Amino acid sequence: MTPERWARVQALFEEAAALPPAARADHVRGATGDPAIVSLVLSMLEADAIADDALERAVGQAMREVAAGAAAPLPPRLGPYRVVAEIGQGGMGTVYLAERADGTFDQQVAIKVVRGLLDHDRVRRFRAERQILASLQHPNIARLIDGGTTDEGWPYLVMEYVDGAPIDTYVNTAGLSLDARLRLFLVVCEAVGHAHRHLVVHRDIKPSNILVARDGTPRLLDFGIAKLLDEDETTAAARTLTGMRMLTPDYASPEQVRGEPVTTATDVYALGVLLFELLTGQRPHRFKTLTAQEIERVVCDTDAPRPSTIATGLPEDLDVIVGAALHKDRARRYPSVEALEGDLRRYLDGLPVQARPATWRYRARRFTARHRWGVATAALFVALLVAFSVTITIQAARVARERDLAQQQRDAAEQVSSFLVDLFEVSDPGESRGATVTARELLERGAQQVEAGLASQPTVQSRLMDTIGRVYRQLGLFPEAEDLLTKALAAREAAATGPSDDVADSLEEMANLLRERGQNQQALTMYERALAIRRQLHQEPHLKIAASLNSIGQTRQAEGEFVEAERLLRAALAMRRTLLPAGDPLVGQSLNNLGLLLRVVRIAEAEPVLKEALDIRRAAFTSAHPLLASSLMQYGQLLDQLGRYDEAEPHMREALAMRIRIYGPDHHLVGTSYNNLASLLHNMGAYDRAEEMYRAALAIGDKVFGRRHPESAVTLNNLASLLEDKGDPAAAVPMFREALDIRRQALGDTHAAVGRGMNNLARALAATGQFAEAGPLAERALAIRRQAFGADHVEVAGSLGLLARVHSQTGRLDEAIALSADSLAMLRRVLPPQHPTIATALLTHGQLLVTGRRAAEAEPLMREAVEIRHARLPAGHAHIVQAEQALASLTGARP
Amino acid sequence: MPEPGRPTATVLLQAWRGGDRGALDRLLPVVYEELAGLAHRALRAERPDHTLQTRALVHEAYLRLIDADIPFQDRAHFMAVAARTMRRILVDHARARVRDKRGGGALRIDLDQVELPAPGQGLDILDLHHALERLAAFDERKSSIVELHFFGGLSYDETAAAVGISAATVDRELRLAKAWLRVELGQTSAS
Repeated sequence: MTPERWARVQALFEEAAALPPAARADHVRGATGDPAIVSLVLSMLEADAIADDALERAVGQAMREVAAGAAAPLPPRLGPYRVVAEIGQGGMGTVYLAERADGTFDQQVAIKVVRGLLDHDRVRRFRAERQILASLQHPNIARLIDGGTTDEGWPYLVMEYVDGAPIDTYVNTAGLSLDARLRLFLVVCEAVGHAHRHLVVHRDIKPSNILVARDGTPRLLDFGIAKLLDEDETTAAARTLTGMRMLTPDYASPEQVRGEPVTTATDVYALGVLLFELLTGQRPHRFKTLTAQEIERVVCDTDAPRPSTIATGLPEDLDVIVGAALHKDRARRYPSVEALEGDLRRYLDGLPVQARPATWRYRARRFTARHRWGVATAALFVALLVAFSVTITIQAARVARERDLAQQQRDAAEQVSSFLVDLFEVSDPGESRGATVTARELLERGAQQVEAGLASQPTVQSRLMDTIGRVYRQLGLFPEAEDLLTKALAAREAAATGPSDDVADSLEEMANLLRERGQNQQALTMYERALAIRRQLHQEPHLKIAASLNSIGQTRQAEGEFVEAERLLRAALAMRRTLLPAGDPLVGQSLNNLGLLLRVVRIAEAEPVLKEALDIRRAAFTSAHPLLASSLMQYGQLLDQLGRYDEAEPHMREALAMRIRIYGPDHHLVGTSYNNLASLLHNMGAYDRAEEMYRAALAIGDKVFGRRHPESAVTLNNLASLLEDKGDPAAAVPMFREALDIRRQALGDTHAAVGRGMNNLARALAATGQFAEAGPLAERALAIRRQAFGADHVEVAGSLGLLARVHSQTGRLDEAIALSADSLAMLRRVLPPQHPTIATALLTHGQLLVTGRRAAEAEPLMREAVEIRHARLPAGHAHIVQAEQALASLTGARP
Repeated sequence: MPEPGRPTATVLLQAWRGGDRGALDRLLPVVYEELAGLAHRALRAERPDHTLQTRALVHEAYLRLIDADIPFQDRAHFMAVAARTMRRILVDHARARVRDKRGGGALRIDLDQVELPAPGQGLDILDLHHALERLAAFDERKSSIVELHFFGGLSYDETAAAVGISAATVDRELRLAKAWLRVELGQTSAS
């Protein structure tokens, strides 16, 4: 049902319902001639009149079934697992005990069905996060084995099943001594530290998540699961609520309660609560009520008692250690789990503990406390973070040995940069939905701070430069991006002692920038260097290697090296299909790139590939997304090329609207979209609208790239052929010339796009009678195109047709007829039947036959051309008129 | 030890109303657990008015989950969340039942004992659910109104507040939506 029809149905229904029953049917029939609408409205009127509560009863019946059925039945299977029993119910879902249903090996697992992730975008991120967690391997961390989606659409996680008691129960029933409790706690700390080194924060450490097996081995459950369940951490609004999720308030840190970003310090706090409990048998805080205000008051403002006031006889050092782990101000807490662990070991070894406040952090924290989150204050935060990481290192240098210094510097770098990546995700055009102005200000300040303030810390500095540079590139701010990326690359190369992933990443990022600016050869050199490094570091198949192959393939394609490009893109696709699930966005990316190549070389094979890519992206992104916009556009272009204009247009319009929404009106991709849509309108014969859009595209291109960019050449070329089609080839000639000139300079003399440019210029020249120049140019274009595309190709056929026209005008009629026959036959081989281009070739060939006094042969060809154009072009298209006139003059001319 | 989750619903609701999309995702499971629990415990007595029962459940969930005085608008939005969740619970349960009948749960249910729909029992909840999805495809608002009224038992005033329209409009739209649904579900001779 379309909105228009539905509006009609509603209006008629209401009009008729207001009339006496007897008058209704006539009114409806008289108001519309659409029998489907009449029938629906009459049925609805009838339905409206009956007093029946079947709808209500259906709901009531379902309610009774739920009530009668007690709990919903167990799902018999989840993926390859047979569900054995329900073992838990929680705020986020249900946990089942299950085993492998194929009986191949006897493994029991716990499966957590998660309710509450409702949109596709989050489910997608959920899967991505899951990959990271699955790689977390530690003897004291319950492994994440697998995941999937239930029949009802809820995601689930499959985890190693741990048979044990919660740690608080265990220490009491086992009657552990103080030292034994501390040593057990240290094992837990080691596991948490391991996860932190892999950039995973637990976020929900509490006794029920730490199970101790009978042999005394503790295992941590649900690592990072809390993060999987949290909404995007980067939005300020989400921040205010992060801490208020289903957290047990007893273990929540002040920053969680206040909704500030969760870091490793949050786990340190929760470990502090756990230690408090293991030492005293009690939790540090008591809540009178469970309102948000009370929780915030207690957790943020009430100091925990010293453990020794509860468990008398505890040494004072343990009070200090617990106090430092539980500090309200996370800047004064232990900076890492290792620091907490280290102090406990020192205590156990009889050495003095190191816990003490760091006053600079306190001051910084006080400062930020006065500035709540917002994009403007985020910039201040960048400055502060930089200051933080400088000071972390200075402080570390004072207290630690050299090895620790290196470790801490690395930790600082990771913390700061992952935070910044989060922060700048807001500025990534895909996320910010056009809020580029503030993002840009934010970036500029960040970049200045990074350059000025971090000279002493090359690792942190280069990471931040790389991050900010990447965002600049995505915003289309190329000079700024180049400056930072170059510096980041230089710093990383200077720091690397052997093959380095960091250097490879920087090279790749730099190459992306070069490619976007049209400097393909330089880009290729960098991509190849990155690939060589990655091959040294990783074994194939590997996602980083696939990424390299993909980039190189795309660049080779841009250079017109289609055979090599196809080989590379197929290799990247195969690698990703091996490593990733079928609907993964990276598989979509590979399919998309391959489809784009096929669109150029073997168009008939492109459709299923691009369609699969589009389907993957539609499923992966439910709202505006840059990749979805690309897929829509590319699929639309394919339909355009296949002559399926009516199907193409809605795809392209959706893409254009999405891009304006994402990038704002002046982005180069918006320009490209205008160009593509214009080209479609051009093909459909809507010349005036097409010209307007070409000119809009050209204006954006001039602004973003300057006129001498290949992207501008494309638009220029298209605008010229539009003028040609509008009957003004003389105006087209200088534009074609300029476009060709730009392409030659950017792409060299043998590129396929140069061939196309030559062909177009030759065609316009021929149309204005300049055959002397047109002939050789057309020959040259044909040679380039044969080289680029092989013997049988639309573009080769186009060149043959043009040459035929030129020859016919220069007295070489027999050659001309032979060439146009070749061209027509070739088009029939490579294009779907009834393609509009075939009609053009039919007319050309027919007219040559007429000129050669073979009108009888020409007539069926011209008829076919008229039929095709009627069938495939919108009514009134200039090409239809033209074909009809050609046919009429032929039949009229015959005796 | 205090029960986790309870105090958070109010805050989540207000955050969601304040524009935090993520808060809704965290609120839904809380409401789901609460409502499912209530549904399992409730309905011992058969009452003739079915929508009153969903209404009673939704109101009880509200009293249990929301711990502060909140504006009428916010209250209406909580009801809307509860209505959506109620629908989800009923649909999940119905799907599980269908799966069992198809033999997926043969281990647990003897196929001979599977209850067959009694003649004249009327509409299946899954059919209603799917019809509402189809309605939502071209008229999302009417689909929501039906959801609020039927699955949440919301009054016209509450529905109007949750959707942001007048009670009179709710009345009109509900009438249209019901007529369409009956036709769509073959509840008239002329379908």
